[in-house]
Amino acid sequence: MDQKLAKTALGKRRGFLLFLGLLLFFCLWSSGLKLTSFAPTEAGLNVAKEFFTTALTPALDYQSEGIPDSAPPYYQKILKATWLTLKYATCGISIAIPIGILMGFFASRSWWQLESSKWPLRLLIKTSHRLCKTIITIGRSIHELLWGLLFISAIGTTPLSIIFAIAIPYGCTLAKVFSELLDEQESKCRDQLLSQGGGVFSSWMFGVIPLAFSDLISYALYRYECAIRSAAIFGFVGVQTIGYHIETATADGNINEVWTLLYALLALILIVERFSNYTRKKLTAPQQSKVKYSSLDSQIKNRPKNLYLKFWSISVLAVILFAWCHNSIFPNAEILHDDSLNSRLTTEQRLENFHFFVEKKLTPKPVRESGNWSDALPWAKDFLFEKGIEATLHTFYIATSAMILAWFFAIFILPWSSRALQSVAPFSVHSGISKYTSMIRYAIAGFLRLLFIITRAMPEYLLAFLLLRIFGPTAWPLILGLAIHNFGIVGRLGGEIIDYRDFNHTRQQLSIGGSRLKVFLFSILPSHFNRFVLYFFYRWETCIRDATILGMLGITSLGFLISEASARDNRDEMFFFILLGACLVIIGDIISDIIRARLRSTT
Amino acid sequence: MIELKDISKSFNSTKALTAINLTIKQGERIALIGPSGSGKTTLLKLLNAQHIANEGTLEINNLDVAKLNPKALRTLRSNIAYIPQDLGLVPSLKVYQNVLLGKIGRFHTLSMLRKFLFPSKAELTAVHTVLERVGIPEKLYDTTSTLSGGQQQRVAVARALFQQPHTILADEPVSAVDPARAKSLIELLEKISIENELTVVMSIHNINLAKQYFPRVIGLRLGKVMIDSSAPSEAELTPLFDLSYTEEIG
Repeated sequence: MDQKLAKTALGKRRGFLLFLGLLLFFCLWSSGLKLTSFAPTEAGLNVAKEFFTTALTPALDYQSEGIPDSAPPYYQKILKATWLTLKYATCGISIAIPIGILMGFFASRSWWQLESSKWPLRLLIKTSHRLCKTIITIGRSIHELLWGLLFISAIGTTPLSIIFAIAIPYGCTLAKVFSELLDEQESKCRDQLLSQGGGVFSSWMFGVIPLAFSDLISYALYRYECAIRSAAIFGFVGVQTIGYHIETATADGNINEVWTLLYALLALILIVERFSNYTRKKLTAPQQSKVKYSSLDSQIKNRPKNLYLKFWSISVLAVILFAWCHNSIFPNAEILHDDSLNSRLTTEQRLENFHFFVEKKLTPKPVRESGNWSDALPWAKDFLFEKGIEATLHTFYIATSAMILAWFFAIFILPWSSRALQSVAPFSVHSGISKYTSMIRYAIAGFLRLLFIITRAMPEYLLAFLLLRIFGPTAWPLILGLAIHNFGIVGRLGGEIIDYRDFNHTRQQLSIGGSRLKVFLFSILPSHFNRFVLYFFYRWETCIRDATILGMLGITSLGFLISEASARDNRDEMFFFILLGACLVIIGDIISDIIRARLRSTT
Repeated sequence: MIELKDISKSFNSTKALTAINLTIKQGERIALIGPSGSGKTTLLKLLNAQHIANEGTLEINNLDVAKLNPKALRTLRSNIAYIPQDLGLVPSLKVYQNVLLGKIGRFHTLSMLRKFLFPSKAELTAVHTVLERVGIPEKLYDTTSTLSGGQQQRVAVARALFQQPHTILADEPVSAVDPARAKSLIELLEKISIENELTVVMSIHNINLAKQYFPRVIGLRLGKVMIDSSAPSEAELTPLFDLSYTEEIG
């Protein structure tokens, strides 16, 4: 390729790409990782070989010998794990959405009409906005698994611990994204309604919400999909969801069972994803009467009816109700109940435990002994300098290197996975390729898109857990687990840019003889580079949050210190490291927000 | 009746309107003409009480707009229809929903929500009637974004009619359409104005249309009224659009 042309097309973007490259090497070097440790050991290779060769033969029955006759059939075990995963995700998200709507409203400025408000109201609005933003930042800075640990410690092993653990961070994340989506809408429709005498709230409701509606629904459904992944990994802290059975099957060496569970999780996530996509399309498809009736009665009679909307609303309500009330509806259905969370404590006992946890367990040990809060500072300082800073930096290195790898690989693969670029007539410009070549191109693009879907569907924690057996106890499995999952997400988001936007300049370049790769490099990538960078920072912020828990798999990072402190029942120490992780996430969040806001204004 | 006395409006250091004195009687049809940045939109927004003048008084039906509290201001606006250049329609809504929103200033949010989601037969009949008047009764249930530019303009006019205002303010509603559509829309507004004795104030770039359809033409330049006559002559119009003046208002 012409180097001069490449330099011109990349322009200032070269600086950013170079910076990312250097940052990757710095992170890998600082975390003490060597490229030689990337190569799996012989034992690791054998594990990988055994693992992948069993992919096509998932277990249809128990693999272990000596299963008692009283054990339920294997399919029931899988169904129960899948149901519990779905149940916790559904209950969690059903609380998270109202939290997200309420807090998202207060965190958004889209309804403000401050210039016409009196100062006490202005002060109230601005204070509630700031307060909401702070709660949202804190709520989402702690990973749901860590919220889970805190709730289990505080109120015991009850399903509510898991549900709240999902609901709080998800509610806050939904609130943040909802408020951003509302703020991004143009204000012209709202202004129009205000000009007709509409009130502040009603003008916002009818002039902004309809514009953001499809994105709001789409994001809520995406969070539901994420909640399923989260519910699955709650298995790693003992809840009998899919993750629990994957962990036990791996420990017992029942790889075929692991594959069955992986397929079950994949199927669950893919069903929800397809359902989400279809729902979004159905809910937002513009409607046009096919037959034109001018009389009112015939129009009312033949109005386009959105039966899917009715079906959708009823089924969503039914699933939520069933997830919450199945105990009352089917008290004896063993398959629906979670034996792992069978604490029989009364509400009073739980409240007592909660008070005890907050007052005694969370209070730093020296403060508990002396009653003096000034003793907390040297205690915290010791933890911070002994291992806290190092673990925090490790967490940062893992998250950053994973995100850079994911981003580079996803962008590298994008031109070959894009529907629009790999079609017989890319961007409607005839390419002259033969039927067979086009079939091969379609097959490759389809396979790569499937790869994006599968890697995106697999929780990073689960990927890291499986990769640990292949690569051994280094940070590589953590980096790769995070990178693989984010590769799928960036790939999909990037694909949407190429496939669903109109590129006149791309068409023009193709029409003067440009190849597919050239138009990607010199037309699509430069014109949407800011958006790709925006996705990088959007995911980087999430990576930092996820990296804090990956250490719970036993690799030095904040998660490792948290799980170690939890195992020793040192809740004060555990809480300290959780807060340290939250601080790292908040810093990442702030950096990402600033950069994204700047990028958005130029996108 | 609308009365502007010594109205001046500036945005920071930029003067948009200077010492405007106008009286607009009920049922008048007025075309606002002038080069870009001459203050036409600012004047229309003042008439809709979206902006408040820095100096002078604006009285609409004997009410001093600057002294109105928020509730009274909303009531006032609910009687004045404003059609912006981009029409201000919510594209993802159905036509009947956009038209129903014309009465947003008359109902509480919950009542509006009910009408919006579950309109009664009587409400649909009222919407259908105004759609018939603008010539697109068959589009009741269509999503607004699927309509052509001309049809969307008609929806905006239908929304204005449904509002049952005493005044319609239109900010260059025909600037982005072909001459035939522009003419048809202005004829529609003329007809509606005559039938209902509505005041219409429309900013427009096309001088010929202004002269043909509007009994009164007001010419603005640099925020000042340069012309206020029933049929401005070429001699009056030429300096209004003289490009040798460069000191325009933003």
